Amino acid sequence: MNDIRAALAVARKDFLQELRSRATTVATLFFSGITLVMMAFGLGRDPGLMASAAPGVLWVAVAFAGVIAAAQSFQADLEEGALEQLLTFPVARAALYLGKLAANWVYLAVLGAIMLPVAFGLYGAAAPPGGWWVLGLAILLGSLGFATIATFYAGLTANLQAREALLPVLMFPVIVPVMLGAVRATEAAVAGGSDVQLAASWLQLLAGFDLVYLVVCSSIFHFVVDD
Amino acid sequence: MNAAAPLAIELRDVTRRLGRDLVLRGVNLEVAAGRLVVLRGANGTGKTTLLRLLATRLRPSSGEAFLFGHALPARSQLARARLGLLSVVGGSFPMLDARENLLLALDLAGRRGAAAPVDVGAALDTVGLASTGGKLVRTFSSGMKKRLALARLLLLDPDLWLLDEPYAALDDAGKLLMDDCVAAARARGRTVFMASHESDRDHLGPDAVLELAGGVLRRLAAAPAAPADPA
Repeated sequence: MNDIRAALAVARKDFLQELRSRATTVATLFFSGITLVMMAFGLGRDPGLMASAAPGVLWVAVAFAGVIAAAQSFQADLEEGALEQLLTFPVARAALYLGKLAANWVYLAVLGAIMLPVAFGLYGAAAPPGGWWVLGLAILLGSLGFATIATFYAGLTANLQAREALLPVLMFPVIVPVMLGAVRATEAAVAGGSDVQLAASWLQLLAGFDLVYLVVCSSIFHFVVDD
Repeated sequence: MNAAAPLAIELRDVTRRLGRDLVLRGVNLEVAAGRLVVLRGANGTGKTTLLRLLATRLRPSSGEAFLFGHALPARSQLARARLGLLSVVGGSFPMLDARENLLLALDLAGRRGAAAPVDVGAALDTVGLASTGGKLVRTFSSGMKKRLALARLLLLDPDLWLLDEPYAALDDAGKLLMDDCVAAARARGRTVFMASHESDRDHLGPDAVLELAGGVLRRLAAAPAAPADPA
């Protein structure tokens, strides 16, 4: 019970910090927006190519934003020795991890929900009415997968001097299954028709990856933050 | 180790390596519960390393460490429930206000809503931050951050107070306040282990004054107890 309360307190703290500094919001919104625009220029003028690329570009933008958000959440804790103090409390490391993960997950899910219509509008993609629930689930499960891995590796690299360079290098190879599941589910939702069934399969796979990463990362997080 | 009345701190031939440097070399220390021990030493001699080890943030490279009979690092979680650390920089979250920092500490300690001798308002009032409790810590001076860290200790009142340069950045009134709080904690039976350069605080009447030099712990000539004796 104490650990649940501690996890909620850590998540609330991260929300409050972000609401006040807006450092992550500004950085990730601009970064993911610029990613969408730059990729649009890179893909050229073929409307078919643009529409088909929308799911992939959207998730690349969310993945980059996830790196920034997770790194920033630990960076804020490093100031004034607050993380060191946090770790002297009698709280299970898994609870601390889940608290930070919850904040990052909500943040990425909201960002994904904002970027989805932007990406679809910019790239000329659209989902049939029956596909929106799939898109919603893809955003929820995809952002959970990214947040799970990003939070873990951000904790791992928090005290390293080259953390900005190391975090994506360590993280991106591991997020490939999540990226694959999220992109394929989004593509199937856009295609509509019988592909919605295919989307359900990808969503199940995505949920499975999320569960595995969640269990593994929370179980070994103490190796990351403790000496 | 006496299982019936475990020592607050017990270190047996503890070494700690940071990179290539052997920062602590065969440290032996026994501190009985309720004692006040002052640790001195020049900059870079390992005082903070020793305090971080006692605060469960570093594990010994070799040797054995116990807090209230709980072996470190195997039973760190139990040890953490009984210690509180006042770090040099304060350890508060700069984007939270002082009151939120203390409420967060209560949540993390599992003490929110529990009966306590001191509440958040009283703790802030004691350290002179009652009127600034709603301001973000990032706007605080170094001394105010130290006072907030002291308020956290007063609020949680752990069995073991670990103080790293508690007087640094404090004004004269703040130093007197720290003295009073340390003396009161000791009177309540708390164990206080303090690393400090302030040689003019000896009026606190420490049970032992130790010195770290070159990673080796020894008692100062005027100290009433040897490092390996229960202080």
